[in-house]
Amino acid sequence: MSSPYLPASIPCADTAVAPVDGLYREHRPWLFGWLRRKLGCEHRAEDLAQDVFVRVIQGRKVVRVNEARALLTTIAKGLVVDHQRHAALEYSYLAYLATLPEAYAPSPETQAEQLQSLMQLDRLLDGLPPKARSAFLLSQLDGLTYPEIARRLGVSLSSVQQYMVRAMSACYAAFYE
Amino acid sequence: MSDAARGMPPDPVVRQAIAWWAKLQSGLANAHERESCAAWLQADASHQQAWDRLQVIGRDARRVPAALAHAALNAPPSRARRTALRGLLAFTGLAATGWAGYQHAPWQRLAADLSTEVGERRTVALADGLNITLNSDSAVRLHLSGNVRGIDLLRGEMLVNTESRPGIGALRVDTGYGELRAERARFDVRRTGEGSRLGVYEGSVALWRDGVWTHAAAGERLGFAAGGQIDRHAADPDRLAWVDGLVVAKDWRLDYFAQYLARQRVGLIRVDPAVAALRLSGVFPLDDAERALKALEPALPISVTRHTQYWLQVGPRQA
Repeated sequence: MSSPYLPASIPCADTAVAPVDGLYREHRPWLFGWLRRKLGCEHRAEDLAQDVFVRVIQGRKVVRVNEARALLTTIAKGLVVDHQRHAALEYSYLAYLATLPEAYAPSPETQAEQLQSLMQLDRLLDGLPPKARSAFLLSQLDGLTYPEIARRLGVSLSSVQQYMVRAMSACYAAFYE
Repeated sequence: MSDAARGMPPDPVVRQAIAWWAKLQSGLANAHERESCAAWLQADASHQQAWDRLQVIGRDARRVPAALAHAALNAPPSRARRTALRGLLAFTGLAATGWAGYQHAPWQRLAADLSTEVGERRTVALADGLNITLNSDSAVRLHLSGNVRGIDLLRGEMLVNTESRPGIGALRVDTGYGELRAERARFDVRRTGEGSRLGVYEGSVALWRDGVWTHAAAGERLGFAAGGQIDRHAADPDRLAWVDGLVVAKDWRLDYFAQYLARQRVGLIRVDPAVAALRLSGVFPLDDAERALKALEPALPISVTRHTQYWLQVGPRQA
């Protein structure tokens, strides 16, 4: 027992490391309560509480007893943000669908694909400044030229060029790395 | 600022590819620049590979409709995003009204007098001896004055109970594809983008379309569209189960069943084509699609998963 750090998924007698089942028994109740307050929904709180522990196991994160609470809270916060982000995107998508006349509504398969693509694009563009995001969308989705984009955004042509490089770099990193 | 801090990829080939890509997207590139780019791509297999990877990103991005992307992604999650969403919703209202206006113009006003949200059902007594129950996501316009009683079904479905009263004319119902006339009857009528369907359970109802009357007696169902033939079938009283918050399925296809449930809730229910044609029968709750679909799992080789609160997926069960 040279190292005090062991994967959490391996039950361990070392009291400095919390095995997952003990972690679960001790921390699930308050975590569930915390999530329920954040989300206002018991079912989703249950799902996310479960997901937190799944992350701990999958990440094979080392959980030390005195840090367990802080770590679980950090993971849970991340999951709540993801969850709300997904819900917001779904909401946007439904609002978009509502703008289409019935005859033009995409098939259920296309709808599922479009929603997936939207979520992926959101992930790729995450963290970019708003103008870089807009420039990328106006170029790739609307097919505008840089002079048109520059006029739309009220920036110089060279700024548009920089936004595009920055946006594609971010996309590339999120997509392939 | 270092390249890494500015978010540049560490690989110089990728950086060069992005530089070329950004130049060629501009709409300003000349023939000379295009040729230079082509030469660079041919100079090394790694160049072409990096280039292809950029194309994949662009292609995936273009799967998202532009209007959707701008509304959903343009602002980070913040005040700005909420404003953008509100803007989209306002536009939604306009577009929906515009479409209704287009369908009913020019003689109908745009606003409905009575409507239900998705998932809502409502019974309303409109006058002495006249009441209606609106199904989910339905809207009607009312003409109730003096001895005239009329209802325009603008969208959705309703159950009508009407009794005759001395001195008051027959109830007229505009279905969008033909007009109904009823003295004393219990009937339901549903309107879709393709046509309307009338089911008569008590009394009788007459349909006026293309200058001809067609009569439906209790126990009969008519299907009709703007043109073409009028279909006549037996009316199925189980079709009224929605009034009690239930759905009675008799040898229905799974995708039809899911579509039926989807009309009662906000969100998507996606049925994998591999299981869409499975058949089912039973009585199910209408207000909890997840429960209704889950109830099928022991009987059918399917698995129901909820991705989020809005999105249910029905797929084949993994062995």
